[in-house]
Amino acid sequence: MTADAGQSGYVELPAGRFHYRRWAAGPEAPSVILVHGNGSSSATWSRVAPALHAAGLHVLAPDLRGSGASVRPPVGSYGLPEVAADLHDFIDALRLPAPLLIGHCWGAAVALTLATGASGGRVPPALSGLVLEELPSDMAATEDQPVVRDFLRMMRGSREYARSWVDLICRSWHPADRESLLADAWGTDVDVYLSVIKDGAGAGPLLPHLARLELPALVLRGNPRRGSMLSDGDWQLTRRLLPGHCAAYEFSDSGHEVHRSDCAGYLRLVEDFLHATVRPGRPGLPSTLRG
Amino acid sequence: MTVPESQVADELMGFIRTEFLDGDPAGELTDETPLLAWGVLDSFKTARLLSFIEDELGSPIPPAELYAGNFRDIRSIAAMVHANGGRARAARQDTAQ
Repeated sequence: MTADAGQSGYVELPAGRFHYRRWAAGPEAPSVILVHGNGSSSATWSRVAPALHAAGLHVLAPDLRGSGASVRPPVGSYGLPEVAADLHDFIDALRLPAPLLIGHCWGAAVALTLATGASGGRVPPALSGLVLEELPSDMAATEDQPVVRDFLRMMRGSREYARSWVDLICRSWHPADRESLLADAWGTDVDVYLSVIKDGAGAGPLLPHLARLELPALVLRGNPRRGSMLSDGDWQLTRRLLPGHCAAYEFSDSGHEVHRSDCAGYLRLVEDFLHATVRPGRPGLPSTLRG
Repeated sequence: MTVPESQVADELMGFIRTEFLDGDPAGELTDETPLLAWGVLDSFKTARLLSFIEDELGSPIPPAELYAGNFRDIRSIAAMVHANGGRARAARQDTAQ
Protein backbone atom coordinates (compact mmCIF):
# COMPACT_ATOMS: atom_id res chain seq x y z
CA MET A 1 0.00 0.00 0.00
CA THR A 2 1.59 3.21 -1.11
CA ALA A 3 0.33 6.75 -0.74
CA ASP A 4 -0.95 8.33 -3.93
CA ALA A 5 -2.86 11.60 -4.11
CA GLY A 6 -4.67 10.67 -7.33
CA GLN A 7 -5.65 13.19 -9.98
CA SER A 8 -7.13 16.47 -8.73
CA GLY A 9 -10.29 17.85 -10.31
CA TYR A 10 -13.04 20.40 -9.71
CA VAL A 11 -16.75 20.26 -10.40
CA GLU A 12 -19.38 23.00 -10.20
CA LEU A 13 -22.36 21.90 -8.11
CA PRO A 14 -25.40 23.94 -6.98
CA ALA A 15 -23.68 24.71 -3.66
CA GLY A 16 -20.45 25.85 -5.31
CA ARG A 17 -17.13 24.55 -6.59
CA PHE A 18 -16.02 21.22 -5.20
CA HIS A 19 -12.59 19.63 -5.29
CA TYR A 20 -12.17 15.90 -5.65
CA ARG A 21 -9.49 13.34 -6.30
CA ARG A 22 -9.88 10.64 -8.89
CA TRP A 23 -8.12 7.35 -9.47
CA ALA A 24 -9.55 6.51 -12.89
CA ALA A 25 -10.22 3.03 -14.21
CA GLY A 26 -11.85 1.67 -17.38
CA PRO A 27 -15.47 2.47 -18.25
CA GLU A 28 -16.68 -0.92 -17.00
CA ALA A 29 -15.03 -0.56 -13.60
CA PRO A 30 -17.42 -0.17 -10.64
CA SER A 31 -17.27 3.24 -8.97
CA VAL A 32 -16.50 3.86 -5.35
CA ILE A 33 -16.85 7.21 -3.58
CA LEU A 34 -14.80 7.78 -0.45
CA VAL A 35 -16.41 10.24 1.95
CA HIS A 36 -14.14 11.70 4.63
CA GLY A 37 -15.00 12.68 8.18
CA ASN A 38 -15.24 16.02 9.97
CA GLY A 39 -11.99 17.97 10.18
CA SER A 40 -10.58 16.00 7.29
CA SER A 41 -10.48 15.93 3.51
CA SER A 42 -9.98 13.55 0.60
CA ALA A 43 -6.33 13.33 1.69
CA THR A 44 -7.36 10.94 4.45
CA TRP A 45 -7.73 8.21 1.80
CA SER A 46 -4.15 8.46 0.55
CA ARG A 47 -3.51 4.74 1.13
CA VAL A 48 -7.04 3.36 0.86
CA ALA A 49 -7.82 4.90 -2.54
CA PRO A 50 -4.78 3.56 -4.44
CA ALA A 51 -5.36 0.10 -2.97
CA LEU A 52 -8.98 0.04 -4.15
CA HIS A 53 -7.89 1.39 -7.52
CA ALA A 54 -5.32 -1.39 -7.79
CA ALA A 55 -8.20 -3.82 -7.12
CA GLY A 56 -9.84 -2.58 -10.34
CA LEU A 57 -12.17 0.12 -9.10
CA HIS A 58 -12.83 3.65 -10.28
CA VAL A 59 -12.24 5.64 -7.11
CA LEU A 60 -13.40 9.17 -6.35
CA ALA A 61 -12.87 11.15 -3.17
CA PRO A 62 -14.56 14.56 -2.89
CA ASP A 63 -13.74 17.23 -0.34
CA LEU A 64 -17.08 17.84 1.39
CA ARG A 65 -18.31 21.42 1.78
CA GLY A 66 -16.07 23.45 4.07
CA SER A 67 -13.26 20.91 3.71
CA GLY A 68 -10.04 20.70 1.73
CA ALA A 69 -10.20 22.81 -1.43
CA SER A 70 -14.01 22.79 -1.77
CA VAL A 71 -16.41 25.68 -1.35
CA ARG A 72 -16.73 26.92 2.23
CA PRO A 73 -20.33 28.04 2.91
CA PRO A 74 -20.99 30.06 6.06
CA VAL A 75 -21.26 28.47 9.48
CA GLY A 76 -24.79 27.18 10.00
CA SER A 77 -25.09 25.46 6.61
CA TYR A 78 -23.51 22.11 7.48
CA GLY A 79 -26.58 20.03 8.23
CA LEU A 80 -26.62 16.44 7.02
CA PRO A 81 -29.38 17.11 4.43
CA GLU A 82 -27.31 19.86 2.80
CA VAL A 83 -24.13 17.81 2.71
CA ALA A 84 -25.99 14.71 1.48
CA ALA A 85 -27.48 16.87 -1.29
CA ASP A 86 -23.94 17.89 -2.32
CA LEU A 87 -22.99 14.22 -2.57
CA HIS A 88 -26.10 13.50 -4.60
CA ASP A 89 -25.21 16.39 -6.95
CA PHE A 90 -21.65 15.08 -7.19
CA ILE A 91 -22.88 11.63 -8.27
CA ASP A 92 -25.20 13.20 -10.85
CA ALA A 93 -22.60 15.63 -12.19
CA LEU A 94 -19.99 12.92 -12.69
CA ARG A 95 -22.62 10.49 -14.02
CA LEU A 96 -21.52 7.70 -11.76
CA PRO A 97 -23.67 4.59 -12.24
CA ALA A 98 -24.66 3.10 -8.87
CA PRO A 99 -21.47 3.87 -6.96
CA LEU A 100 -20.63 2.28 -3.65
CA LEU A 101 -20.24 4.81 -0.82
CA ILE A 102 -17.50 4.40 1.76
CA GLY A 103 -17.69 6.89 4.60
CA HIS A 104 -15.86 7.66 7.82
CA CYS A 105 -17.69 9.23 10.79
CA TRP A 106 -19.35 12.39 9.41
CA GLY A 107 -18.87 10.93 5.93
CA ALA A 108 -20.64 7.75 7.06
CA ALA A 109 -23.49 9.86 8.44
CA VAL A 110 -23.72 11.71 5.10
CA ALA A 111 -23.68 8.45 3.12
CA LEU A 112 -26.39 6.91 5.31
CA THR A 113 -28.51 10.07 5.05
CA LEU A 114 -28.25 10.00 1.27
CA ALA A 115 -28.86 6.26 0.91
CA THR A 116 -31.95 6.15 3.12
CA GLY A 117 -33.53 9.32 1.77
CA ALA A 118 -33.36 10.81 5.25
CA SER A 119 -32.52 14.20 3.78
CA GLY A 120 -36.04 14.34 2.29
CA GLY A 121 -37.26 15.86 -0.93
CA ARG A 122 -35.29 13.79 -3.43
CA VAL A 123 -35.30 10.17 -4.43
CA PRO A 124 -31.95 8.68 -3.38
CA PRO A 125 -29.55 7.96 -6.24
CA ALA A 126 -28.87 4.39 -7.33
CA LEU A 127 -26.13 2.97 -5.10
CA SER A 128 -24.42 -0.42 -4.89
CA GLY A 129 -23.83 -0.45 -1.17
CA LEU A 130 -22.40 1.29 1.86
CA VAL A 131 -19.36 0.93 4.06
CA LEU A 132 -19.91 2.92 7.26
CA GLU A 133 -16.83 3.28 9.44
CA GLU A 134 -17.40 4.76 12.87
CA LEU A 135 -20.92 5.95 12.11
CA PRO A 136 -21.76 8.14 15.13
CA SER A 137 -24.99 7.54 17.04
CA ASP A 138 -25.74 11.17 16.25
CA MET A 139 -23.57 14.14 15.40
CA ALA A 140 -24.27 15.80 18.76
CA ALA A 141 -22.71 12.82 20.52
CA THR A 142 -19.38 13.48 18.84
CA GLU A 143 -18.86 16.75 20.71
CA ASP A 144 -17.85 15.15 24.00
CA GLN A 145 -15.61 12.51 22.48
CA PRO A 146 -11.96 12.55 23.61
CA VAL A 147 -10.77 12.32 20.00
CA VAL A 148 -12.73 15.49 19.18
CA ARG A 149 -11.23 17.34 22.14
CA ASP A 150 -7.79 16.16 21.04
CA PHE A 151 -8.38 17.39 17.53
CA LEU A 152 -9.51 20.80 18.79
CA ARG A 153 -6.39 20.95 20.95
CA MET A 154 -4.25 20.29 17.87
CA MET A 155 -6.10 22.79 15.70
CA ARG A 156 -5.78 25.51 18.34
CA GLY A 157 -2.12 24.81 19.05
CA SER A 158 0.86 25.80 16.96
CA ARG A 159 1.81 23.88 13.85
CA GLU A 160 4.85 22.57 15.71
CA TYR A 161 2.65 21.34 18.55
CA ALA A 162 0.36 19.51 16.10
CA ARG A 163 3.34 17.84 14.43
CA SER A 164 4.84 16.71 17.72
CA TRP A 165 1.43 15.52 18.94
CA VAL A 166 0.82 13.44 15.81
CA ASP A 167 4.35 11.97 15.87
CA LEU A 168 3.91 10.96 19.51
CA ILE A 169 0.29 9.84 19.64
CA CYS A 170 0.09 8.25 16.19
CA ARG A 171 3.60 6.81 16.33
CA SER A 172 2.41 3.38 15.18
CA TRP A 173 0.74 4.75 12.03
CA HIS A 174 2.16 4.70 8.53
CA PRO A 175 4.01 8.00 7.83
CA ALA A 176 1.57 8.86 5.02
CA ASP A 177 -1.34 8.63 7.46
CA ARG A 178 0.46 10.78 10.03
CA GLU A 179 1.03 13.36 7.31
CA SER A 180 -2.62 13.34 6.26
CA LEU A 181 -3.79 13.75 9.86
CA LEU A 182 -1.41 16.65 10.25
CA ALA A 183 -2.75 18.19 7.05
CA ASP A 184 -6.23 17.78 8.56
CA ALA A 185 -5.23 19.66 11.71
CA TRP A 186 -3.51 22.43 9.79
CA GLY A 187 -6.16 22.77 7.10
CA THR A 188 -9.40 22.62 9.08
CA ASP A 189 -11.39 25.74 9.93
CA VAL A 190 -12.32 25.40 13.61
CA ASP A 191 -15.62 27.24 13.09
CA VAL A 192 -16.62 24.89 10.27
CA TYR A 193 -15.58 21.89 12.35
CA LEU A 194 -17.86 22.97 15.20
CA SER A 195 -20.65 23.87 12.78
CA VAL A 196 -20.58 20.37 11.31
CA ILE A 197 -21.25 19.01 14.80
CA LYS A 198 -23.86 21.59 15.74
CA ASP A 199 -25.73 21.59 12.43
CA GLY A 200 -25.41 17.83 12.05
CA ALA A 201 -27.04 17.37 15.44
CA GLY A 202 -30.26 18.66 13.89
CA ALA A 203 -30.69 15.30 12.15
CA GLY A 204 -31.10 13.55 15.52
CA PRO A 205 -30.25 9.89 16.15
CA LEU A 206 -28.67 8.21 13.14
CA LEU A 207 -28.63 4.55 14.08
CA PRO A 208 -32.40 4.03 13.55
CA HIS A 209 -31.85 4.74 9.83
CA LEU A 210 -29.83 1.52 9.62
CA ALA A 211 -33.03 -0.51 10.00
CA ARG A 212 -34.33 0.95 6.72
CA LEU A 213 -31.34 -0.04 4.65
CA GLU A 214 -32.22 -1.96 1.54
CA LEU A 215 -28.67 -1.85 0.19
CA PRO A 216 -25.93 -4.18 1.34
CA ALA A 217 -23.95 -2.41 4.05
CA LEU A 218 -20.84 -3.11 6.06
CA VAL A 219 -20.66 -1.24 9.38
CA LEU A 220 -17.31 -0.96 11.13
CA ARG A 221 -16.21 0.36 14.46
CA GLY A 222 -12.96 0.53 16.41
CA ASN A 223 -12.54 -0.23 20.09
CA PRO A 224 -14.13 2.32 22.44
CA ARG A 225 -11.25 1.75 24.85
CA ARG A 226 -8.96 2.94 22.07
CA GLY A 227 -11.00 5.93 20.96
CA SER A 228 -13.94 4.56 18.98
CA MET A 229 -16.88 6.95 19.14
CA LEU A 230 -19.38 4.09 19.43
CA SER A 231 -20.04 2.87 22.95
CA ASP A 232 -20.80 -0.78 23.57
CA GLY A 233 -24.47 0.21 23.87
CA ASP A 234 -24.35 1.98 20.51
CA TRP A 235 -22.76 -1.08 18.98
CA GLN A 236 -25.35 -3.45 20.38
CA LEU A 237 -28.05 -1.22 18.95
CA THR A 238 -26.26 -1.08 15.60
CA ARG A 239 -26.10 -4.86 15.38
CA ARG A 240 -29.71 -5.24 16.44
CA LEU A 241 -30.99 -2.73 13.89
CA LEU A 242 -28.95 -3.89 10.90
CA PRO A 243 -30.99 -5.93 8.43
CA GLY A 244 -29.85 -9.48 7.77
CA HIS A 245 -28.26 -8.67 4.44
CA CYS A 246 -25.81 -6.31 6.14
CA ALA A 247 -22.76 -7.02 8.30
CA ALA A 248 -20.99 -5.44 11.25
CA TYR A 249 -17.37 -5.83 12.30
CA GLU A 250 -15.33 -4.50 15.19
CA PHE A 251 -11.60 -3.77 15.11
CA SER A 252 -10.37 -4.40 18.62
CA ASP A 253 -6.91 -2.91 18.01
CA SER A 254 -8.09 0.31 16.39
CA GLY A 255 -9.64 3.51 17.64
CA HIS A 256 -11.70 6.02 15.69
CA GLU A 257 -9.45 6.01 12.63
CA VAL A 258 -9.66 2.40 11.53
CA HIS A 259 -8.70 3.13 7.90
CA ARG A 260 -5.51 4.85 9.03
CA SER A 261 -4.51 2.90 12.12
CA ASP A 262 -5.20 -0.56 10.62
CA CYS A 263 -5.28 0.11 6.91
CA ALA A 264 -4.46 -3.48 5.93
CA GLY A 265 -7.20 -4.97 8.11
CA TYR A 266 -9.66 -2.37 6.92
CA LEU A 267 -8.89 -3.05 3.27
CA ARG A 268 -9.23 -6.81 3.71
CA LEU A 269 -12.79 -6.41 4.95
CA VAL A 270 -13.74 -3.73 2.46
CA GLU A 271 -12.39 -5.70 -0.49
CA ASP A 272 -14.28 -8.80 0.69
CA PHE A 273 -17.41 -6.69 0.88
CA LEU A 274 -16.78 -5.24 -2.58
CA HIS A 275 -16.52 -8.71 -4.04
CA ALA A 276 -19.92 -9.45 -2.56
CA THR A 277 -21.58 -6.27 -3.76
CA VAL A 278 -20.17 -4.59 -6.85
CA ARG A 279 -18.46 -7.59 -8.40
CA PRO A 280 -20.54 -9.86 -10.62
CA GLY A 281 -20.88 -13.54 -9.87
CA ARG A 282 -20.19 -13.30 -6.15
CA PRO A 283 -23.61 -13.15 -4.50
CA GLY A 284 -24.00 -13.00 -0.77
CA LEU A 285 -21.63 -11.91 1.92
CA PRO A 286 -18.32 -13.75 2.12
CA SER A 287 -17.70 -16.03 5.07
CA THR A 288 -15.45 -13.52 6.81
CA LEU A 289 -18.39 -11.15 7.15
CA ARG A 290 -21.08 -13.57 8.21
CA GLY A 291 -22.29 -13.87 11.75
CA MET B 1 3.73 27.38 44.66
CA THR B 2 6.30 24.71 43.85
CA VAL B 3 5.51 21.13 44.71
CA PRO B 4 8.03 18.32 44.83
CA GLU B 5 8.46 16.19 41.74
CA SER B 6 7.48 13.17 43.83
CA GLN B 7 4.05 14.67 44.44
CA VAL B 8 3.55 15.08 40.71
CA ALA B 9 4.64 11.47 40.25
CA ASP B 10 2.04 10.38 42.80
CA GLU B 11 -0.68 12.19 40.84
CA LEU B 12 0.44 10.56 37.60
CA MET B 13 0.56 7.14 39.23
CA GLY B 14 -2.95 7.58 40.62
CA PHE B 15 -4.28 8.60 37.21
CA ILE B 16 -2.63 5.73 35.34
CA ARG B 17 -3.70 3.17 37.95
CA THR B 18 -7.30 4.32 37.93
CA GLU B 19 -7.81 5.09 34.28
CA PHE B 20 -5.66 2.51 32.53
CA LEU B 21 -5.03 -0.40 34.90
CA ASP B 22 -8.41 -0.96 36.58
CA GLY B 23 -6.92 0.22 39.85
CA ASP B 24 -3.82 -2.01 39.51
CA PRO B 25 -5.09 -4.51 42.11
CA ALA B 26 -1.80 -6.44 42.07
CA GLY B 27 0.13 -3.25 42.83
CA GLU B 28 2.56 -3.80 39.96
CA LEU B 29 2.90 -0.22 38.78
CA THR B 30 6.05 1.59 39.89
CA ASP B 31 7.63 4.84 38.77
CA GLU B 32 10.01 2.80 36.63
CA THR B 33 7.46 0.56 34.91
CA PRO B 34 8.20 0.85 31.17
CA LEU B 35 4.83 2.26 30.11
CA LEU B 36 5.48 2.35 26.39
CA ALA B 37 7.42 -0.90 26.11
CA TRP B 38 4.76 -2.81 28.04
CA GLY B 39 1.91 -1.26 26.12
CA VAL B 40 0.34 0.51 29.11
CA LEU B 41 0.37 3.68 27.02
CA ASP B 42 -1.04 2.99 23.57
CA SER B 43 -1.90 5.90 21.27
CA PHE B 44 -5.26 6.65 22.83
CA LYS B 45 -4.02 6.40 26.41
CA THR B 46 -1.00 8.57 25.68
CA ALA B 47 -3.42 11.21 24.40
CA ARG B 48 -5.57 10.83 27.52
CA LEU B 49 -2.52 11.17 29.75
CA LEU B 50 -1.37 14.26 27.85
CA SER B 51 -4.80 15.85 28.32
CA PHE B 52 -4.57 15.11 32.05
CA ILE B 53 -1.10 16.65 32.23
CA GLU B 54 -2.07 19.80 30.38
CA ASP B 55 -5.60 20.32 31.68
CA GLU B 56 -5.49 18.92 35.21
CA LEU B 57 -1.86 19.37 36.22
CA GLY B 58 -1.56 22.70 34.44
CA SER B 59 1.57 21.81 32.53
CA PRO B 60 1.51 22.76 28.84
CA ILE B 61 4.18 20.63 27.24
CA PRO B 62 6.25 22.42 24.57
CA PRO B 63 6.36 20.68 21.17
CA ALA B 64 10.06 19.90 21.51
CA GLU B 65 9.34 17.79 24.60
CA LEU B 66 6.48 15.79 23.10
CA TYR B 67 8.38 12.65 22.20
CA ALA B 68 8.20 9.03 23.29
CA GLY B 69 11.36 9.15 25.42
CA ASN B 70 9.67 11.55 27.82
CA PHE B 71 6.79 9.10 28.30
CA ARG B 72 8.80 5.94 28.95
CA ASP B 73 7.93 5.75 32.67
CA ILE B 74 6.32 7.77 35.44
CA ARG B 75 9.67 9.13 36.58
CA SER B 76 10.46 10.64 33.17
CA ILE B 77 6.93 11.99 32.78
CA ALA B 78 7.01 13.56 36.24
CA ALA B 79 10.33 15.24 35.48
CA MET B 80 8.91 16.69 32.26
CA VAL B 81 5.71 17.86 33.95
CA HIS B 82 7.60 19.37 36.88
CA ALA B 83 10.04 21.18 34.58
CA ASN B 84 7.08 22.73 32.78
CA GLY B 85 5.39 24.10 35.85
CA GLY B 86 3.03 21.21 36.48
CA ARG B 87 1.60 21.08 39.94
CA ALA B 88 -0.09 18.25 41.76
CA ARG B 89 -3.82 18.69 41.93
CA ALA B 90 -3.82 18.57 45.72
CA ALA B 91 -1.49 21.56 45.81
CA ARG B 92 -3.63 23.45 43.30
CA GLN B 93 -6.71 22.85 45.42
CA ASP B 94 -4.84 24.10 48.51
CA THR B 95 -3.85 27.24 46.63
CA ALA B 96 -7.40 27.84 45.51
CA GLN B 97 -8.77 27.73 49.04
